[in-house]
Amino acid sequence: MAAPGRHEYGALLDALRGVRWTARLRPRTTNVGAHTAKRIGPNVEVTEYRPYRQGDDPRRLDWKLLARTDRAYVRLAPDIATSPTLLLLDGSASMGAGLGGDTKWRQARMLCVGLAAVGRGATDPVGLVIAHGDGARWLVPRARGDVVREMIRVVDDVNPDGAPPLAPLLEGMRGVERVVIVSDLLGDADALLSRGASLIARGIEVIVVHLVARAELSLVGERAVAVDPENATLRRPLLRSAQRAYDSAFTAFRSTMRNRWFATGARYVEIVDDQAPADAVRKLVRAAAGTGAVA
Amino acid sequence: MTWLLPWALGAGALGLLGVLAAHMLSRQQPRALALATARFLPSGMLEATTVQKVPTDRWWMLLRMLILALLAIGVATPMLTPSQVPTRTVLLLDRSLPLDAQRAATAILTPADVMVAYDTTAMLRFGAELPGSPSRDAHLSAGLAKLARVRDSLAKGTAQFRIVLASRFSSRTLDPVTQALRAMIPDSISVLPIAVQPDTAIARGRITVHAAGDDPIAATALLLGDSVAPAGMVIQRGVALTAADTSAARNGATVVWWPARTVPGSPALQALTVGVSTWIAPMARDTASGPVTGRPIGWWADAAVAARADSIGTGCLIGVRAALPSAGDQTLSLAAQAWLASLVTSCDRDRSGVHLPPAWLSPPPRVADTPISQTIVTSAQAPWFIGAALALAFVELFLRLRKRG
Repeated sequence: MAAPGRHEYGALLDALRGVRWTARLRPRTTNVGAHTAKRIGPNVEVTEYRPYRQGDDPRRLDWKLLARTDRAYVRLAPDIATSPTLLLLDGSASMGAGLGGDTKWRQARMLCVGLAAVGRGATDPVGLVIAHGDGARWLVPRARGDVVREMIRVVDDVNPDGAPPLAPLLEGMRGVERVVIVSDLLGDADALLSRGASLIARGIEVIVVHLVARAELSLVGERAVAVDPENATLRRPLLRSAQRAYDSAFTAFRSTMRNRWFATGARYVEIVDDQAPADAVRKLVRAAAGTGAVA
Repeated sequence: MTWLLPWALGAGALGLLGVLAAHMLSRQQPRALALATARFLPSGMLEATTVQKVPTDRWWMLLRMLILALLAIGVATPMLTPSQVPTRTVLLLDRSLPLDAQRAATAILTPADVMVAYDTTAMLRFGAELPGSPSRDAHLSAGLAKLARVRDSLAKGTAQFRIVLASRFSSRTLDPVTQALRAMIPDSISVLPIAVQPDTAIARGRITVHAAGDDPIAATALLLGDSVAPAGMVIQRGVALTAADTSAARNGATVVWWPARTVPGSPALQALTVGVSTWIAPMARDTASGPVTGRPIGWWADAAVAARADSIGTGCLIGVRAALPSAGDQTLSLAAQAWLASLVTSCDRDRSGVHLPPAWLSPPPRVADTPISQTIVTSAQAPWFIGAALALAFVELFLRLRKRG
């Protein structure tokens, strides 16, 4: 499987320089970052003082003012915080095999690296979890400078295989404010949707990147048998006469996915594998900041 | 080498082409392509018939071709062509003949000759070996039909082609299609004289005539005496047969049913022939009496049937339909006596077993264009070819079942 070359990653990172990823929801973290936090915290830029009330955190007391005036006041300022982001990458066999080769997996890797770079640009900790046949590969969210390089190494090290479920990987998640799911949604789509809705209910921003191969959108009829790479027993004749039925069923599936994810409050973006990765990342970032689904 | 049924070779060649075509076509799944969205394709037949550039399962194909080739060769019956054998004789052998007569007939055959032995069916045999015990009945049509089918193959390459017939020409030998089948064979057919001993010596006796006192035929029968007609002979001149007459016929007697119709006045002269005797006298055809059944034995001058004989039980029933004038002594003439003697002995030929062959049988219906070249001699390998083909077919079936299992 041909991995994107270093220069391709480099070109992508160059193209995304300056792109900022605004958090749609105010993060609840206390780490100082680039996003306006939900709470008013002890920022250096004071906007107001308020007399200390029972229950206030004593660490917020302006100790110097107390010493000078013997009055207990609390410093108040709008906090800015980081938005820890977790990229969930579908490494099932369906992402790596297809009529067009491994273009879907290649695009998925470029998207992950691009999103990580954009997140890192906003000083957000970025993590990665890849679900594939041998288990899950975790890269916990970090704000270190070399997190993008490490992410490149991890995604290049994984080959899509098996039919691993994605939903269990989203369970028990703590300290994450944003989850980006990069998948073709051909696996445990229902469980994933249910789990995603649960995360959204917890105030976590969920962005679904539905990856579609161009070859899947416009099948070329030929005398062959189409085999599902995740289920070898599923074999269907690939005939020109089946084109219309296939188009209808696949369009309906994508429409259903889009509507159901949108109904949960998630951001849904459909990305085609032949789209320029930098454009796709910009589209994702715009979609994450906006409202509704983006096609 | 020549072939008795060369069309079988053509059919075999077509079969070989069919086998080759079947192995060029293969029903298999097309190549598999990984498609993540395969689930959205409608279900359907996964296998498709494709034409291969080279035959599939070549060993199986060769085995099946071998089976077909052996079968075709066996059915086509290969015939070897030895050095000069100028004449080929085909003996049409009546299998109802006594065994001694059959042996005497086959004595004329040489190793180059062929025998078509027929009873109710016919079989082609090479050599003089008899097929078995005599049959009860034999139909010449069966032998002629067989000969018509193989005649061209047998005659091919012979300088002289001869057909010899050995038969007793009993009442069942000829049937309505015999003459038509004879016409299909362009060669002359020689009738082999057969000396057949009568089964039993036929006793002679007086003729009993059941008629009125002044019946003219009763007088003629009286003139014949007791040495001509078979014993127990009855001439019934009544308008119908009695139960006693029928019973006598069933028990071996010869019964002539000749209703005593008379013609008023002076009828015209008519010729009435039975066997070799012809009686010319003033008489008329009896159309008032009912018809009779059986083979024709007496004819008017215009070939209309005047008398028939039918075997009934172990005896014989002869029906005559001729009306005599009410007055005159023509029935007392020598010609009338000879004619009546011929009539009452008509059934004797059935008993003795030897009849005269019909005149149309011997001469050729058309000139034969027999090619002149070597005579052919058959080989007896045809059954072996067919047997080998069947054995290989069983082997193929066994191997196929084993492969599947």
